[in-house]
Amino acid sequence: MACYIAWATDDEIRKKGTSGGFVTAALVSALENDLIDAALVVKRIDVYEGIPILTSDPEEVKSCAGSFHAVPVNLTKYVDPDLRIGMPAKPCDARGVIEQAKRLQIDLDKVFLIGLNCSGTMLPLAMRNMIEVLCQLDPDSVIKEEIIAEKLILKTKNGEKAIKIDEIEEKGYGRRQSCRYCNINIPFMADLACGNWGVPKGKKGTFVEIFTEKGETFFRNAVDSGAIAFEEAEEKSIFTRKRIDEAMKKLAEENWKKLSNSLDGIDRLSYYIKSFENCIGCRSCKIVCPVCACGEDAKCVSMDYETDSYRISMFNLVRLLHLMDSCIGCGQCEDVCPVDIPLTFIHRRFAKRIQDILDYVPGVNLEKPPFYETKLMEW
Amino acid sequence: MPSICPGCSIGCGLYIEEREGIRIDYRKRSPVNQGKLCKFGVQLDKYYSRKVLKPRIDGKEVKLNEAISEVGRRLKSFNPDEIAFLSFGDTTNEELLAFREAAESFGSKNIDCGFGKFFGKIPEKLHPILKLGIPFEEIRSSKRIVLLLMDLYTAYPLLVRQILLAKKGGAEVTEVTLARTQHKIANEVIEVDPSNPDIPDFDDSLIIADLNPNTPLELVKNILSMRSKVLFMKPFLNSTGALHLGLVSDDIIEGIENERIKALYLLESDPIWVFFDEERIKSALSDLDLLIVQNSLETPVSEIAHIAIPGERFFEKRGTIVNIEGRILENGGKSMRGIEIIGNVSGKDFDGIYERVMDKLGISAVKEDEIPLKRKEGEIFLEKEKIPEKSGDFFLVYRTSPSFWRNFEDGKFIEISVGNAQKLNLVKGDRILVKSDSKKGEFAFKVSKIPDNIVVSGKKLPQGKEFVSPVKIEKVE
Repeated sequence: MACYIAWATDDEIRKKGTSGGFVTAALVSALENDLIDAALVVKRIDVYEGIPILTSDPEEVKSCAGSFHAVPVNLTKYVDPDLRIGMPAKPCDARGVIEQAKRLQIDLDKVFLIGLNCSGTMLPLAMRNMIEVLCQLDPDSVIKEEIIAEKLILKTKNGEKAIKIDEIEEKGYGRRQSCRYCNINIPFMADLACGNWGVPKGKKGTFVEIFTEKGETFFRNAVDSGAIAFEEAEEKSIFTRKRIDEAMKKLAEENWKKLSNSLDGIDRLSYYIKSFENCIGCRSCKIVCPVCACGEDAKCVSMDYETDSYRISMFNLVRLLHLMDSCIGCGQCEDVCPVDIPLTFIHRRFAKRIQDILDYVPGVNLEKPPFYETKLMEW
Repeated sequence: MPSICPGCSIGCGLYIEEREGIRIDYRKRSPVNQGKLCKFGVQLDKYYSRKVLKPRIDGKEVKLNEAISEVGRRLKSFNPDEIAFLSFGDTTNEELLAFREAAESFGSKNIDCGFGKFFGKIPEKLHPILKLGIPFEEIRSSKRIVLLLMDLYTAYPLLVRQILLAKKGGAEVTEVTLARTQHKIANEVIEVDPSNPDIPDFDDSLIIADLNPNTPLELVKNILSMRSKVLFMKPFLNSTGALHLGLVSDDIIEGIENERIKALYLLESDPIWVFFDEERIKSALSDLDLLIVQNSLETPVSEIAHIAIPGERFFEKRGTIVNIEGRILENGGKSMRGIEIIGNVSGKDFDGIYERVMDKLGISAVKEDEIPLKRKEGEIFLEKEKIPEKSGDFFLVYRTSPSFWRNFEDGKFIEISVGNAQKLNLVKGDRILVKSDSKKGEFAFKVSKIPDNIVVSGKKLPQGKEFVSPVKIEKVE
């Protein structure tokens, strides 16, 4: 695969971007050259809040540059299938889009997935709390945040403060739980992957790896229009990036093992009944799920009656079955659950075992989910 | 656009967008709910998509300005004491203050938010407890919590999480209920006999109960006799704002029934939805000489209004609210139509209304992460008052305030005990008939572990004119 260090030629975009402004410059160029109808980006309100928007305005795209580690949104369900779209995509965004494509909700030919390396996101209020307690800063004084070399950098008007991610998590703050055990950091399923891992020290640039023809088209468009400049990535850069990715993966796997093992030796059925007993039936978990494409006629909804008295509702049981081959572990369901059911953990615990048996990873290519085509008796 | 759910006094933050329909989204940045919503919040698109109110005079559709002029003209023909203004608080502080100032411009002191009837009958030292709740942080740090006659899974579901977090911190939870649920949030459940409800005393606890215009005064006094901290939840979004802005007067419904009040102006409120006995309320309102409804959407009361004036839907309104914690929150809307209508009706100019609200609430800026309104605890405790006994041997009881969510949620069913289900030989798919003296209706049923002398509803039914109502049941053959 082709690997480059690329950066925006526009100084302002380069300065505002997290790592050289490649993504913003390339998106603007794609809009200006009619490669896409709209960009799906996160409009910044402040460090802790951003709203996904579809925009055709290059200036608006420019204003959305920068990282959003405290805006844990999944962009899949904001894709307008009628438009040609370019979207920065964390691995879970890209995987959601691919799963929707399998379910014929999105035409992948119309979406440029501009992958963003991801080491995880934080819940906004948890981040504010961490900044206040651990960093002893007024959360409202932070004007920018970045993660560089495993450190969270907080910039204020008066300077900056860096704190190691490990330290944050040791003290009970930090990334969402689903991010801690997510082992896909480089979005290899996207058209191209961008990030600051492997960028030589002191250089303001984006490490870009191109995976598909579409990715090549997107990159070339930005080069040809003069929006970006680039150089081939050196072996050392490629190695550094790989090393960081492997270290992150190892940590994620350890985290998963620790968490998953916490159920060893206990009566798991009782654990699941206990976990679901507070469900208030809001169905938010289904609404936000980037994989679910069933709409209001979904089996989980139509088989669930208010007059039932099951200890785990049919809604939750059907979703457990339905997601076994498809859950990508994005954490959205857990984020919005009003009674804090560890939904992503439970779904992943079911899904990981089944996905391992079936040798299937959802959201990484257009292979159909095994339950689409495999009869249960066959395995 | 950031907005606030109008479902109850918690005031959950969310995003709302109107473009080819209404779309709701989760606002994880909200310090109130961290993006989490209940069933009502999730379905807000349907709530807001109901029929929009059209301007009408005496049942005939007219232009908005005609309706507005007619309100002013007709109100002037009444003595000030005969006019009342009622808003339960499902609107912004700014609109409520404008409403109050309009009432004053007509010389009326009858301006209420449905809770005034408790204030005259409870000592002033305890008014702060009626007016304001407590920060949820105080729920989470409580060591003993009593849920008094309220099923949090039906009403205020976002409080369930606060209770669960308190339990993680070691809190013991007691539920006092007429009918237990299958949920196991409580460490201890105390069932109360509906015919003779004797509520046990709780000291050194946090008591969480619902306060709404239907709540029996004896129950409120009973709760305020306990040596505990009390959190009265309210089913309307901005009752706390309304109470702090002075929308407190004598019982307006009582005033209408004894003909002291002859003209009523309702703002974003429908008493027919709110009160248990719909027929009684509808009949009282129908006897008014003038009934004005300023509301965004059609509701039962707009059908009997002499004049109907459409305001904007809550999410469109510019302004603030106060949630039950005492947090002041900004609604993301841009429109001021509701305030302008009140201004045109009363001939007043409401320039500077935002500043006056801030002044009255004692703040200089709206900061959602802060809780500027704090209450002083009551210092005194009332004498315990006996809750009147109910005659009858079989009752329909409500799980919680049945006017919650304006009866919006779909589907109605009755909960029945295992014993009664066996006695009636019920099988899945059967329906049961619930009969009161004057009403009967057929319902789907759910079998629950409840006493044999009750059936339970979470929603308002014509057979249930009070919290506990005598009924009979039989199987529909």
